[in-house]
Amino acid sequence: MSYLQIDGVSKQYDDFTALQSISLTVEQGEFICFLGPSGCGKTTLLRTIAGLEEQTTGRIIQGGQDISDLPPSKRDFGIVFQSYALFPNLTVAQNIVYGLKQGRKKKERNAQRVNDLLAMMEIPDQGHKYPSQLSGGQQQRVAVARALAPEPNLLLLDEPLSALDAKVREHLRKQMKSIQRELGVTFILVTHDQEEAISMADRIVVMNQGRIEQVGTPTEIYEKPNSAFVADFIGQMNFFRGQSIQGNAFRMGSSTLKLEHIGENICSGEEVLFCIRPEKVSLWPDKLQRSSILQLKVSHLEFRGSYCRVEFVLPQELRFDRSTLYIDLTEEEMQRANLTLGKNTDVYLPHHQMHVFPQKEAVQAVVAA
Amino acid sequence: MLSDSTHSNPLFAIWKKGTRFLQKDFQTNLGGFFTLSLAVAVLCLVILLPLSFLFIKSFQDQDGLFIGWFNFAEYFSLLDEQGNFIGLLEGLRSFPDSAVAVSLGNSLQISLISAVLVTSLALLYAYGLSRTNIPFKGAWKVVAQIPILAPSLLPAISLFYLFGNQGILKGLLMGESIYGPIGIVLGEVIWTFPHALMILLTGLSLSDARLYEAAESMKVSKMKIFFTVTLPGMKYPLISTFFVVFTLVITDFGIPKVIGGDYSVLATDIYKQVVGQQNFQVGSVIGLILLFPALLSFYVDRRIQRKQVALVTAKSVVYKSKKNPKLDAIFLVINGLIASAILSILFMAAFASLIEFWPYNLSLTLSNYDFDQMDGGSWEAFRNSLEMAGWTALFGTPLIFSFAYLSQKMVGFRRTKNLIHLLSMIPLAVPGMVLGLAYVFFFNHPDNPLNFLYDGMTILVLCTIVHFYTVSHLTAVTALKQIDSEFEAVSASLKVTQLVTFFRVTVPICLPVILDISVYLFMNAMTTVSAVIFLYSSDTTLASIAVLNMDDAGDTAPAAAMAMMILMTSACVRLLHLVITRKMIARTQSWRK
Repeated sequence: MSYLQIDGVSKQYDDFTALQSISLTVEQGEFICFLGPSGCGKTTLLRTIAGLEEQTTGRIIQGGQDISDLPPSKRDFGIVFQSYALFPNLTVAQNIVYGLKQGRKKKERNAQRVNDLLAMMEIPDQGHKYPSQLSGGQQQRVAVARALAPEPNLLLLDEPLSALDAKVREHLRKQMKSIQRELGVTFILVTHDQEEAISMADRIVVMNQGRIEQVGTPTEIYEKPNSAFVADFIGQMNFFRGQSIQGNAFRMGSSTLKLEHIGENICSGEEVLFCIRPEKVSLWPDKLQRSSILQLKVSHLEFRGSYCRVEFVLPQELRFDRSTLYIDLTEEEMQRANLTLGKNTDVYLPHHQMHVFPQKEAVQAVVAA
Repeated sequence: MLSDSTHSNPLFAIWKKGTRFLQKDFQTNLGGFFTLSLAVAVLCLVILLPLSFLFIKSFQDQDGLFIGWFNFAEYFSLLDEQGNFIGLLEGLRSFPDSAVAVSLGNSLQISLISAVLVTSLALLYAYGLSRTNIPFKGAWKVVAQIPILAPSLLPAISLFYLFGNQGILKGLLMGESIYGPIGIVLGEVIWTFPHALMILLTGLSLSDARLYEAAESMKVSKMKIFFTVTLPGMKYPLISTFFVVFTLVITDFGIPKVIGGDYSVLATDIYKQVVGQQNFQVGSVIGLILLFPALLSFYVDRRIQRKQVALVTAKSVVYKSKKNPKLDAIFLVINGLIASAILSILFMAAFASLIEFWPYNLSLTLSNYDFDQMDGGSWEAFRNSLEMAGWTALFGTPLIFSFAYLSQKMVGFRRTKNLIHLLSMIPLAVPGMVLGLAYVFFFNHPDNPLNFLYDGMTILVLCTIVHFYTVSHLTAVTALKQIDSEFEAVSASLKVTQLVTFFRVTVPICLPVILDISVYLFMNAMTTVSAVIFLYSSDTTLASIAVLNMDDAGDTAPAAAMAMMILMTSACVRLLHLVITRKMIARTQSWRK
C-alpha cells in the first residue's frame, strides 16, 4: 500500500474553488514536486496534507492511518516555509531542538542531534548563533534541520528556495536531494520553478486551476505532456494551428501529416494545435524519421551565449499565440546553416517529436497560464 | 490506568464513535475553543452588557419601570410643569430656548472651533518637523508631547492663572472673559494638540518622495506642490485628526468644568444630572447623545484607515527635506510660538503650585503640596492613583495582549476571532463618562452576580482598562501581525503546543510592545477623569479627581500642585520606559534586526 493516499480532496472557499477533487498516491521515500503557476492550488494541497487547511471533502491516508480529521499536531510531518519561520529569539541550536523532548537527561542526546544535523546541512558550529546572524541560505538549512530533528517520515517544503539567489538555490537543490536519498524520508516540495522540479523530483505533479494536469517523472512530463497546459508550462514550446482529418491524420496549412501519439479526445474535423519544442526542430532532413517541411523566412537572430535563437515568420493560417516559430542552434549549426536575416529556409518538423491537442482546450490553458 | 483491554471494550468503542463527529473541533482545539469562548464572554461582560444597560436605563424611570421616551422628553423640554407631553410641534417651537439646545449648540461650537484650530496648528507644526530642516527637532517633539502627560484639567487651571480675573495676560483678551468658550477652546487646543500631532506626523512621514521629485522636475512652484501633492496626500490624516479632536473635545468634561463658567456643554450636563441631581435616567439620555459624535468619528476613522493602507506601497521612497533657509526660518518661528504656548501653560501651572498666594504673595512655598490640609484633596488620592494605574497596567496588559493574540493567531475559528476584534474596537467609540455611567448601572445593579466587582479599586481598574482598551489592542495587533504567521504551523508540526510557543517565542518578540502598552495604560490611568468620575468612592478618590474637587472648592493652587504631581509621575514613567526599552533592545540586539 502507498505511503500517502490523497483521495478526492476538494477545498472550497466562499466563491472560489482552490482544489477540485484531487487524488494522488505517494510512495515511501519518494521525492514529489507540486508544480504549477501561482494560484493553482499547490500550496493549498500541501497545507491540507499538513492539516493547516481543512479539506471540504475527501480523505487523506498516511501510513495506513486516516488523518483527514486530525489536527496538525497529531500528524507525522515536518514543514519548511519560504519565509524559513525560524524563531528569531532562539539560537540555531534552540530552534533545532524546539520539537524534541527536553530535560536534563536528554540534553546530551539533543546536543548530539543538533551537531549531526548541522553537519549534514553543511553548517557546522553555527548552533550558538541567532537566525538573523546567518545568510538566507544558511537560515533555510536550519529550517530544514529543525523540521527533520524529530525524525518525521514526511517532509513538506513550501517554496523553500524561492527567496534565495540563483547560486545558493542550485547548491541547496543538490543538497536537499542527497539528504532525501540518504534519509529515505518522503519529500513533498511545492514550487513554481520548473527547473527546480525537473532537477529534484522523482515524480512531478503539475497543477493548474485547482486540478492535477499530469503526474509523471520529469522525463515523462517533458517528453510526453498530456495537455497543452503542461506542454506550454514546462520548457519551451512552439504552437501552431491545424485541423484533424480523421484518426491520426491531420492537416497543417496545405500539407497533411500522420502522427503516432495522439490523445483520445480529438474528434475528426476538430481544430487542433500542434506543438514542438525548439530543440526538436531541425534545419536538415533526417532520413530515418518522417518530417513535415515548412519553407520559412528568418525574421530575427539573437545571440544568447551558449546558443543562438532563430525566429521564422509563420504563415498566417498557422499562427496561434505568436507570429513566429523559434529554434535554438549551436554555434556549429549556425555556421553550417549560414542563416541571414530575411533568408528563406526549409524547416523540418519531425513527426515523432510533435504533440497535438484539441484547440479549444489549449486556448483555455494557454491563456490561463 | 488504562490497560490494553480498555480499547477492546465495547463501551469504549461506542464512546469513540459517538464523539467522532465532535472530534475535529474538540480534539483539534478543545483548549482553543474554550479560551476563545472565554474571551468573548469577558469582553461582552465588560463592554457590551454595561452599554446595553445604559441604553435600557434611558427608557426607564427611577424604579426601573419602562416609560418609553419620557426621559428624552424631559431632557428635551417637551414636558409642561405637570409632566405632560406638550406635543412635538410645541416642543419644536420652544426647543431653541431650551437648556438642551444651548448645551448642544455650545458643545458643537467649541468642538468645531477646537478641531479646526488644532488641526491647522498641528499641521503647521508637523510640517515644520517633517518637511523642513529646522534645528532641535527632538526638543520640539518632546515639548509637544507634554500635554498628554497631564490631565486635561492642567491647561484649564493654567489658563485661569494666565487669563483669569487676576491673570497676568488678562489684557490680551481685550475685555472678554476666559470663563466660557474662549477658555474652553484654548484649553482643548493645548490638551488635544499631541493627539493631533501624532496622527499628522505619521501621515506626513508616509508620503512618497518620488511624487515631489516628479513635481520639482516639472518646475512646479513650492506653493503649488503643497496644494497638489502634500495636501491631497494628507487628506485622510487631516480628516482623521479633525474627527479625533472633535470627539475628544465634545466628550471632555474636565476643561469645561474648570474654566467653562456658566457656559454649559453636554459633558458637564451629564455631570450635573448625575452628581448634582442624582438623575441617572436623564444622565443616560445625554450619554446616548454623546455616543453619536463618537460613533461617527469612529466610523469615519475606520473607513479612512482602510483606504489609507492602499496609499503607501512598499516601493515608496522616504521624503528627505531639501535646504531652504527661508522656509526653515518661517517654521522655526511658527513651531517656536506653538511650543512656547505649551511651555508657558506648563510653567504657569508649575509656578502657581509653588507660590504662596496668587497674585498678592509671590514667595515660593511647598505648602500647596500639603494636600492633606486641603478640601477634597489628600496624598492618599495620589497614592490611590498610583495604585490604580499600577493595577491597570498589571492586569490590563496581559489581558489585552493575550486577547489580541487570540484574535490573531488561533488556527481556525474565523468568526469568533473577528468577533473578539470587533468587540475590542467598541471602547474607542465610547466616551469615558458614558462608559463610567454604564458601569454604574451594570455593576451596581443589586441583582448582578458580578456586583462584588463594584468595590472601590476593582471597578476603577476595570473601567480604566476597558476605556483604553482599543488603542492597546490595536498596538498589540500591529505587533502580532508583523510576526511570521507560520510560527504556529511550525510549532504544530513540531508537536509543541501553542501555549509553549506563545511564551517562548511570541511574548519575547513582543516584549517592547507589551511594555509600550503597559506604560500607555499607566499614564492614561493617572490622568483620566471622565472614566472614573462616577465610580470613585470616598476611599478611592484619585489624584485627577482631587484636582477637580480642590479646584471646585476654590483651592486652585493645590489643584495645580496635584496636576503637577500627575504630570511629573507620568513624565518619570515615560522616562523610565525609554531607558528600559533601550536597555532591553540593546540586550536582545543579537537577534533583533
